[in-house]
Amino acid sequence: MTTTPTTLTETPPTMLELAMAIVAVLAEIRQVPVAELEAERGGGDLSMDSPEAVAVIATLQGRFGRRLAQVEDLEPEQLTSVANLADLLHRRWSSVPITSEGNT
Amino acid sequence: MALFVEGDNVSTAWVEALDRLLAGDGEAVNLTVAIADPTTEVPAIRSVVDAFIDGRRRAHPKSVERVSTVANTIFPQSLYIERLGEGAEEHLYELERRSRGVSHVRNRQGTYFERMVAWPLEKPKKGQQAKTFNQLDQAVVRLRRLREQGTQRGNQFEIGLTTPADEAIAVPIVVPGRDRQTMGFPCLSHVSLSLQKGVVHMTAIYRNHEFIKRGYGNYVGLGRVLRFVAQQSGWPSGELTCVSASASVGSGAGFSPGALTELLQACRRAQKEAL
Repeated sequence: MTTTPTTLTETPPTMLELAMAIVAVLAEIRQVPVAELEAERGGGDLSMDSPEAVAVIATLQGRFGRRLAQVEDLEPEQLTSVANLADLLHRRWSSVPITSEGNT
Repeated sequence: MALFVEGDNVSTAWVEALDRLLAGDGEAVNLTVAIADPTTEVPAIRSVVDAFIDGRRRAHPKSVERVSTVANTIFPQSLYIERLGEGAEEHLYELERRSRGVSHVRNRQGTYFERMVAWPLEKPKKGQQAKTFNQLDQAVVRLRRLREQGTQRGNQFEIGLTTPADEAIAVPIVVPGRDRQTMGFPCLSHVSLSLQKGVVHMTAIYRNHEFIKRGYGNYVGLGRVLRFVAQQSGWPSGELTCVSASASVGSGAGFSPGALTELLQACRRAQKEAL
């Protein structure tokens, strides 16, 4: 069984783990099964709208207890797909502080 | 003098208003745009507007927002899952609450949608959540009640002093005592919904409107709000009338009279080809 990181961790998740976590939250937002989105993604990428991306970031910040976005990250051109967002969160992982309350 | 413009949908109404503004000196008081169906657009015109704005963003990043971004600040359509029926309303509100902290990173004063669903009833205390009021939900609940009662008409004559908790189908945006800027957010002051002959209509008031930077996205976003309220309360949606107390086509890099005339001509060509 594949697992995705859902708790506070110092070890940066891999891009694959981040992409899976993003798809799981996106499925919750769209109210569809994860399998449906994975099938749509087909091992490639999946586009998303910027409000969806903001909701994904907010959810993952709560789960990881870490601030994952800065002002310059939230331009709509950067929030267009699962792969874009996974890349952004991976880069931000080690450069932003862990938050005490989790959800920032 | 006031300008009055009508259009069948967001795109044609916006183009007509742009034409009228450019025929003058690019400014107007009381620009009133009536859109028969604000939930529809002409895709070819939207593409022209998107291309114009994308060009300005490439040349001058952050000088102008995309139409989709502007519309999302009024109504984040992708978070409204229509097939959930009445459950879609709470799902949308929950996602807005969850997103608020991150959204504030970019929009420090919040978004118009936030003010519609979480109007601040008190000044936030440090480390505590301020009490808020969901104005859209109140409008939906009241309109649903009218439908259950078999009443096809409901409105409130307002003078802009309504508070969200009043029994009006009204959505104020400007927070008294907090919004003191003369430019910038919030430009949308008030949204009023009325039920006439079993159809929900909307009137929106802008104190100041940057017509090219914001106008198109504003009309799209307001049309989405109208559709949401109508769907959730079980009535058909009607027209949107938007009054801009002060409107301007805008100025600065990329907004020369020549560039704006070219934009208008490209929109007119797209409109003609779409017929």
